[in-house]
Amino acid sequence: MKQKFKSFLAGTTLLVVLGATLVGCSSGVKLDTPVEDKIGTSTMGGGTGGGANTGQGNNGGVTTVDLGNVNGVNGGPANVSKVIYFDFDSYLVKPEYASVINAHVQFLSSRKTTKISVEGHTDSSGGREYNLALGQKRAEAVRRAMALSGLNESQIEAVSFGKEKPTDLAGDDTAAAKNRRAEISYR
Amino acid sequence: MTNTEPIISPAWSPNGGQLAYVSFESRKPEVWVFDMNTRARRLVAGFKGSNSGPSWSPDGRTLAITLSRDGNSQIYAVGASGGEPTRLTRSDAIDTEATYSADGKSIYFMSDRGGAPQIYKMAATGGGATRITFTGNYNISPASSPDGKWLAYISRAGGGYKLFVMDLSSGVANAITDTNADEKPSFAANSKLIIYATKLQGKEVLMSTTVDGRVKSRLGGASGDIREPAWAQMGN
Repeated sequence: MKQKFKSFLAGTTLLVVLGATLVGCSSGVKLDTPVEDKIGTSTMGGGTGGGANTGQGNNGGVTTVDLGNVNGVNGGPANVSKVIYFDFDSYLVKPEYASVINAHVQFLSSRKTTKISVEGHTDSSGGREYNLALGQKRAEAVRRAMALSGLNESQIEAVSFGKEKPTDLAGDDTAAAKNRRAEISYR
Repeated sequence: MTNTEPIISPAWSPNGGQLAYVSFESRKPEVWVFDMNTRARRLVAGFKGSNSGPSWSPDGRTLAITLSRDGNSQIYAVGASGGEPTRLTRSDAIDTEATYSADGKSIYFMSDRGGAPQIYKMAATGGGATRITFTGNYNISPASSPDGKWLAYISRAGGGYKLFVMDLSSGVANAITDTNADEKPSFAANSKLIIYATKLQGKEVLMSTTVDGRVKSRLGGASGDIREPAWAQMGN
């Protein structure tokens, strides 16, 4: 592991973070890949359409879908979305997500040792560090909403990925709306 | 370092012996420092919430970082080997992207405390801040030159993000590129060149420019996307 870092840095005093295609780097270390999210909460489209929060409000064309059949202590409550979408330049958890918030809080309240992190994300415009802070505001808004619904604060952590993990790379307005989100991740 | 999670915001220590960066490998942003001599790394900031935006003090002893552990993103100082951070800003807004001035007495940073992101300056020990940028409603990513004369930053202008350079003695700032997706300026040790990331024909590339914008060149990376440059300050 150290060796890989060394070869990546060899012969240069200029460090850069590389994008997805790392041609010319002998180490093959992927430093910054806009990967698909591994926790499986960001599956967009093709949903069942039966969720409590489906199709309500204006998400810029995004339909929030139920993820379904995600169960067990590590998976959160069954048939409840783990993605909350935000309007452009907004950190407001829209009222349509009240049932989603409550379902997670209820699930966690009966499992005091289960923890979640709320991961805030932004669309791709603007600086990386500023977007990291903006994503944090979204995660924090969800954390507060859950705390107000009675969730024990020790069970939740709000964190941010900024613009580093888009779910939709298309670069248009629809994609941007899908990327402005907070994801609830069970640990 | 072998992981598929992103790494952002690399920052070289003043003597070039260490590299601070933000890694998402623990499914949250944390600040690590990699030591070039020992090839070992250490976690400098892994507090609750997000940890990001490292910047070295000129003496290499302190890192200014952004933490959200008290709610909103604020700037803290932490020893280069870690420990308990000292909070430097106290706003109810976002304060981030701290960067030390060349003499180490001040910190430039970005804040949206006035309703839009602008660049401010405060004492390195924290406290009250003075606004530095007044043109435009989106000014971020400050970088001060080692000779203390210039401040480079990114400004949203005309629908794009452009590299600006301000003469700190007069406060006059000019856009010095004709690209529209400029990011993350970093000065060379001689204060005459700035490296930055941008997009050319849809590709993420690195460019260097003279401070006046007259001479530019594209750096390396014939294929693949490159971003987030950081110029080591050792030597000339």
